[in-house]
Amino acid sequence: MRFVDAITRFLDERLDIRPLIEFAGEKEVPRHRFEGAYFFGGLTLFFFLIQVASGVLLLLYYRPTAEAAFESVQFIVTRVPFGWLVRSVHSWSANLMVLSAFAHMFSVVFMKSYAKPREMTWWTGCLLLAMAMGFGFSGYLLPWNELAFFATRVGTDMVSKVPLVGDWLLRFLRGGEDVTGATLTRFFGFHVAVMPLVITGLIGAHLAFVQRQGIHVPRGLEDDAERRGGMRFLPNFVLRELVVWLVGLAILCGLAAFFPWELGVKADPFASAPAGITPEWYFLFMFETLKLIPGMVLGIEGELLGLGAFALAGVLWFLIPVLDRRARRGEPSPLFTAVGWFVLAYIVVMTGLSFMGVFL
Amino acid sequence: MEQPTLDPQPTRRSVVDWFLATSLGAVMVSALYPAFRFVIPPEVAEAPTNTVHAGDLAELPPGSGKVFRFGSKPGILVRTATGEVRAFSAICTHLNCTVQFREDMQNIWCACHNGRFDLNGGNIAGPPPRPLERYRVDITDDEIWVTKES
Amino acid sequence: MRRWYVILTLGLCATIVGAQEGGGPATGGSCVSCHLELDEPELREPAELFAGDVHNRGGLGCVLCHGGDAKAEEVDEAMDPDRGFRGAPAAGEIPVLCGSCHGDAAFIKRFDPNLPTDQWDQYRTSIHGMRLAEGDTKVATCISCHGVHGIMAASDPRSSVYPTQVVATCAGCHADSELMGGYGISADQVSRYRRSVHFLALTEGNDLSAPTCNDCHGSHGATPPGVDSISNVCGACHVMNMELFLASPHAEAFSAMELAACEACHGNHEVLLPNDDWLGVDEESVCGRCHERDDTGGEVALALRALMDRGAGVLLNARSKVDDAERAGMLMEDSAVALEEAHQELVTARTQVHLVSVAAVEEHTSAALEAAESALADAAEAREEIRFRRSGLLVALVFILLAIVALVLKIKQLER
Repeated sequence: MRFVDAITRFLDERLDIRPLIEFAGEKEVPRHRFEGAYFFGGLTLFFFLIQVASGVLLLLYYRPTAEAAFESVQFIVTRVPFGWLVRSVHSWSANLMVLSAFAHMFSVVFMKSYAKPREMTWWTGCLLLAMAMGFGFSGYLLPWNELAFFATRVGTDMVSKVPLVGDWLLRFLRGGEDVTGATLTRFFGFHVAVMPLVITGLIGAHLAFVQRQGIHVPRGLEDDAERRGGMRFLPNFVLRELVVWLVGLAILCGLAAFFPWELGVKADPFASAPAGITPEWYFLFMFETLKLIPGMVLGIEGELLGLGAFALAGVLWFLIPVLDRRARRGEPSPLFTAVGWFVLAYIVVMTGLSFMGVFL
Repeated sequence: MEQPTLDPQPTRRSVVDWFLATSLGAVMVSALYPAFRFVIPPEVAEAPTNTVHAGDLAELPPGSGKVFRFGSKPGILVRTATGEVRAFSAICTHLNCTVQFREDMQNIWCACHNGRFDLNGGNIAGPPPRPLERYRVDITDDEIWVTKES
Repeated sequence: MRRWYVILTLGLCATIVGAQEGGGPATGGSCVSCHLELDEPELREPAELFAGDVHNRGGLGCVLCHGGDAKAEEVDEAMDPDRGFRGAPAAGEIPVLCGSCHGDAAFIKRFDPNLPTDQWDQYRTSIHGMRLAEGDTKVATCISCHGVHGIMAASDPRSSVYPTQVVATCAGCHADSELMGGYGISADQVSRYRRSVHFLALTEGNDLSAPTCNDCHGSHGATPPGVDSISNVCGACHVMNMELFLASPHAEAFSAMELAACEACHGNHEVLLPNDDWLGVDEESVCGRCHERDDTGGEVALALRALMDRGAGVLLNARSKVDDAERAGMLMEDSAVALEEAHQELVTARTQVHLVSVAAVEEHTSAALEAAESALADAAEAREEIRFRRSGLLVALVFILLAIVALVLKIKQLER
């Protein structure tokens, strides 16, 4: 600890960081029955940091062209020391990050932490979730294997259904009419440059809001929290968060070593699509829903209707802080709790059905 | 900021601190060690599918040939009577058998169906329908380097 | 009489060639322009077909074969026997007629310096030619195979004698059981050939070097290859197999029994892909047709079968294990090379079977086994490496666990 003191003194003499440290020292995290939920945000951040680190490492060897992408991943996985580990960690951590983000989001929904004055935290959070899924989607193509190629083709096909701008959007995403090497290069650019920039800004804003406003205590648990008193952020919460991070790390390493990510077969744009192409698991509930909708409904193409419904649902979800007037007033809001449960159940059930091969 | 105060049980506290520091350090090392090994490039800097060291001039006298490995596929080196080195894919264009150099014929020959290729890789007799794929040869010092033009 | 026709035709050839400058559609002259107007298909079609005929393009017209006057507008004059018109030549006259130009090297040289001119000589040695000489007009003559009015060069894919079309052309007669029955030969050769690997290679494999009827039987000199010459015919492409067979005890034995070499085991028209099951002495095997379990040949057959089965089995297993490892992300390049080597050795071993020597085959199956086993070893090593990585992880997990414990202790300590 003396070492830490020395550093602190060094920086303080030059940058006057003492007010910051005091602020951090005073910050408190509420304690109550569901305090465990508070760890998920940090856990998501942890997995994101892992992604950045492993992503940068992969960047040293990866080649973003159709001719060389697969071979470069093969090179990483077979010839670079611990390349197999870095690659598997990167692929698994992506999934864990999205999972953690969903957990974080739903805990916010049930605790109604989105209510005033925390609407902007919710909005940046929604955007962050969308970005995480966007990272997943763009990254999925990069190994340029068969599954990835066709999954991307199916996935990007969807956007062409958007009325008016659909075709333009398709060409923008794909870098052309079809999924080609141009798509790969473009997705790579999004994945390693554009989106990291944007997400850094969003994370910064999201964290800044949380720091400024403090952590929300759910309605009904105020007495419990009052009684237990708050937990100091530094060092108590941080140490606990570290434990959670280490558990996450352990799970990640376990997955990376026991279920290493497959290399697959190099993509061949001229081959016919293999059976059983599915997108990543976090898109499955949408995928499954679209399969359930009949081809034509009231003269409108089923898929278009499905996409429209999801778009509408997404907008409404985004606007929950505004729509849930009762929560805004601090009153019980069982309707929105029910909505939250319904959405969660829907996602879980649809994802499960997709895995089990129902409606395939 | 919390200053470390003198605790009535200094040993207990420092044991925990030591344990914490060491175990966290061990975790850091097990994370950083692979990362360090990763960033040092491997012996073979690129997958050997485009350029390989096929052999040396010393082992290929004029009028001889040698099969070499190109990644996981066979290639064939020939040296003409005038000393020029040429390289081709050793996969016969008929039914993919591995061809060989025949000193007696001074030609490339396929044992499977008696196909024959001249020293330009051209299919001159037997069933092969196309010439052998030709590779680029670069010679530095004594070493013969073969490149596949993609 | 025949000579008169020859002279007249030659004279006409010369006249017409001298009169034209390289020909074109107008070579048919009034013959074509009149016949195109006719209603009867059998009279109109020849004129229509002639536009694409190779003779037309060489400036050689109808009068070349039919005589008459291509400049005359009136049918009486154009088809006047006094002007040389003689209608459609009889079957027996056809080879002579065609041969009168195509057998004249000096003449043909003006159109295509490399066109062979031995067709008529060859034809006379063929079964078709010999029978025609005896007066049988049902046999094939030049026009039976090459067509008559829309003749195309043999190198033209539309030609009836292009490699992929030959079997359909021969089938015209040889698949007709009534016609063939009259000669006492079967009519199943074509259907058999169509099941063979050669036909598959030709049609689906686009391998124009694959043999079709004329490659083994000859084209103009068409005859079935004799018992003595079969191994030469097959051996033209399958050199190694022929040499080995000739060095084997079967060569003398087959010759003594008047058994055709390759044909005895592989068939002639229905040559199928051989498989290792042919070796052995049971009912399905080929060796078993002559050999018993306890005779020397039978023992060799069984030994060879055992060797091939073992080799193929090990290779299959190795291949599947290597594929698994590769898909998991391990580097299996060395294994791929070893597998290819094993495969090539097995192919060579199967060729060596023709020597019917256990030692010769074993040399190659052993090499194949060695290579396949080295690939298997690589695959096992890869699996081991994957397992080793998991154990390396266990170490990291232990550290993480310790760190978690340390943190929990620290928390407890701070909050006491």
